[in-house]
Amino acid sequence: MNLYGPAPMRRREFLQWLGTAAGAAALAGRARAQTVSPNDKINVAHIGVGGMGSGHLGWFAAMPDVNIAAICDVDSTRLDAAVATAKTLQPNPDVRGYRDFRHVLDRDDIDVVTCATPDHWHTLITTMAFEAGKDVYSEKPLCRTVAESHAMVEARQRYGRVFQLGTQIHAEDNYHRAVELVRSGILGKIHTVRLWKTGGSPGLGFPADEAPPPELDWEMWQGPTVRRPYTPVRCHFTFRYFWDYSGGNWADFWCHIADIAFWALDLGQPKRIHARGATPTDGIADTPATIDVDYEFDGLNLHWSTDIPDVPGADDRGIGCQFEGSEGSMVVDYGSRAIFLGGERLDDVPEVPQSIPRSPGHQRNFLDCVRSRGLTESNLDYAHNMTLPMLLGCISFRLQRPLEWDAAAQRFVGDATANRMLSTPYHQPWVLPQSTIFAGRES
Amino acid sequence: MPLFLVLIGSLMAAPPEPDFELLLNGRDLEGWTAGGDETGWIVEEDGVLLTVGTVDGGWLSTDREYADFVLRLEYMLSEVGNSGVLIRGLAPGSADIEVQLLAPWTPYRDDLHCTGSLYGHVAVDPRPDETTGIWHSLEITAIGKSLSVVVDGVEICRANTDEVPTLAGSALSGHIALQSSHSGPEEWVRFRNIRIRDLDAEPGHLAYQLRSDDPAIRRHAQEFSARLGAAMVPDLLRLHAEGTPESISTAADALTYIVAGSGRDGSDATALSAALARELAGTWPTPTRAFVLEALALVGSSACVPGIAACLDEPVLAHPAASALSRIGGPTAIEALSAAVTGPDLEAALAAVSGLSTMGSGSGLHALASALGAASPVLRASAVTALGSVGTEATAPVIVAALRDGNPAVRAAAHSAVLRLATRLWESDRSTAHLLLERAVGAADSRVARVSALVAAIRLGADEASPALTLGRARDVEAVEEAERIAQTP
Repeated sequence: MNLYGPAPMRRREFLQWLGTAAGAAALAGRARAQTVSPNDKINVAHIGVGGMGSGHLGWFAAMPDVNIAAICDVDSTRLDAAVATAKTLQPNPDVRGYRDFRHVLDRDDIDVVTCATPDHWHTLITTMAFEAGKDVYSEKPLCRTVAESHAMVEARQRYGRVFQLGTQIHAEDNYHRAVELVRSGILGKIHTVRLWKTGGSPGLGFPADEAPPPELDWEMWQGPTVRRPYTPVRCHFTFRYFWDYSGGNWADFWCHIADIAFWALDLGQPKRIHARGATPTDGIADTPATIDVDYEFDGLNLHWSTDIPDVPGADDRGIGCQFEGSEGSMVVDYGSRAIFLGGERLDDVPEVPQSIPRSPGHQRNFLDCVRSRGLTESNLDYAHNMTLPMLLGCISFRLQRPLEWDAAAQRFVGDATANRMLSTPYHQPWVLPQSTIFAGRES
Repeated sequence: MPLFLVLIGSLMAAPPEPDFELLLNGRDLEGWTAGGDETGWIVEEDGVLLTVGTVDGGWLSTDREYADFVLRLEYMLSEVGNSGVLIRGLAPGSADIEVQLLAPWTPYRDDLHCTGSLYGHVAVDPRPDETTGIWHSLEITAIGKSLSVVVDGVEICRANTDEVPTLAGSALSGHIALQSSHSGPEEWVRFRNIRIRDLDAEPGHLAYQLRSDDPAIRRHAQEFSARLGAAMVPDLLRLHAEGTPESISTAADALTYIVAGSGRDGSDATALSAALARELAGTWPTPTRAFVLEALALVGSSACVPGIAACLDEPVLAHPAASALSRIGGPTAIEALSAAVTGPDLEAALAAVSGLSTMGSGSGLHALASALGAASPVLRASAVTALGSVGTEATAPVIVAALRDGNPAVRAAAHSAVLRLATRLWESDRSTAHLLLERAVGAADSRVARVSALVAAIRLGADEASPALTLGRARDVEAVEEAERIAQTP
């Protein structure tokens, strides 16, 4: 049994796509504009309709000015279910299912792509969607490597597309208010930020390899990442706990909780990164079961932990961000705050004026920007800046040593192995369209 | 005693044991630290260690810590001597586990507290010879959670610490210490031929412990395996080649730690790199060789390039081999990847193209350019994507030519590559950049492609009089207007 998938058949499928690709676009007589006119509905395609993708489908279908036009998944069971759901949410006889996202990108009538695939697909789908003139709403974490992050940023810049990272907590009032409070200066100068999320990667046991189920295109699911024999825990949902596809629980939740720190303080890039911790011992998962990371930013220290820190207000919050300033401190989680000023515990400081316009909702904000060509609240440059320290932290964890980061060169100082981990060649036939900053450097 | 008899005596006491090293050098206490009630430790002229005790007791501890070991020594007790060997002490001189050494003085001590017992935790069975004033041999074997005590050649005590409630969770590693005689001021104990076999320095032992069902033991073995580094490689590959999910995962974890410990500047990685490269030529199963290649991607040196390149035309190995070569970099790696790009094996060629695309500007340009003439459209599309990343102004003509490829997917890839190359050349070679942008507008397959090229041109800074926009207006004014709208997107 070939557990790596029937390569010859996949090759044939790839060639079939090559035969029809772009050709379809060329033949379509009516060339749809790459901007949406005010009276048109926004045609949305959902790529990847597992857990988060089903969420996307529900969110976008609920928007009055959206038409779900296409759904794509490499698992035909999920695909069929999502197409059926889409038809109940909006009785549109035109919603079509695809197993290969390239056929979706070939459709000129699609305005927006949402991407809720595993992380190792985010970069290619996003950059190829930009090339095809589409705006993208993509799930967090943004991507797997620094090179990928740069490739996305540069492609968006080149094609002038709209991008939103799926950090929906960003849109909530609590985060807006917390940013106003930090920026008001009531806490004084912030010198320390602590981020935490309890719970690391589970081990997932030691399941035997299997043949991929017939409904799943395992070759396409793996796409640009390394080939492994199939086992269900490597695939849907628990892919999160393997470096091959993602960065583990901490990488996932970093995007939500680091968001508030980067938004409030506009942190640049860290100078030093030191991660410690352990991987699970009870299974094949290899991302952190526990992780602590110390980051040194310019004038500020930031700590990540899988343990709740012993600071006022952390209480039993399983996730949180603490801002510690010269005058006071504040703990923020998704929905609440605890402010400590002059020995008092407060929920709010009413004297601080509301200065940041509230979001109409994360998806709505994105769709409004698709129409206005405005800047989204979790735009790509912001998402890149917020994600980069997490990507560097993964490398420090895997090498079990402190690293020094040269932001100007986008390289580690004096660590050849760490630098090799900043990018990873894609599995054939996929090729990462490199950014200038990575393509131009010495190998 | 005549000198030759002394010599024979010590030879008989300590036959050659190549795996053991002497813990006491016979001259001084180098490597040891005394503490507690320091009654003094004397190294006698014949290398015998003597301590004459007090009631309160003191200790002499190794500076080093030991986890899994076989400790051998000989001891002789005075008539009421009371001593012991502490193992796995977290601090020098303190430990959960003491192997008791005791004269059979009154009141008579039971099997749980006599010589050879794990004092207070595990009794002896059978009882050893407790005669005072003569030399006895003692052997303590500690392997993970299993302990064994042999006195005068007879195993008299054995235990699994997990099965002894009072020892559950006791330390798996620590200092070894000798107790001074603490039954009275005139009582003494002598030790000689103290030697140890440090099992954690032996790859085979660590590989055995890595197979343990106990995660704590595996974790422990993993730490020691990381200290051994390159010497562990063959045993880890054997473990990986067993091919079970457990063995593969354990071998991968252990190798990760070795890679992590191989040094920041790559200098310490040389031995590891060589050890891995040596195994590539072996008869390991394919997944195990892929595993070696993945490690070489992180620590491989240019000396490994030929061995890695030989893997390129094996189906499952093409990607990890190309990936390793691209990260090792340098002229020989580029040469090997280039040869694969133009070679007969399509899978190898595609993997090599992907590898070259992540290397520095100018890598493998000749091969990538030749691949644009390949029969396979997949290879042509990959090659032109790579050229968009590593191409230079010299390859601009072939990338532009690919805009007119017979296959639409290759044309689309070329379109993206032309725009990326234009971005890279915008500052250094403006005229070539303008030319590229103009060609992308002119050769666009669709309205989408044309608008994309125009947006890219405007966002780079091309003005209305630039070749791209001039051509764009001549072909499709609406496309230019739309591009101008899109280009305003922040």
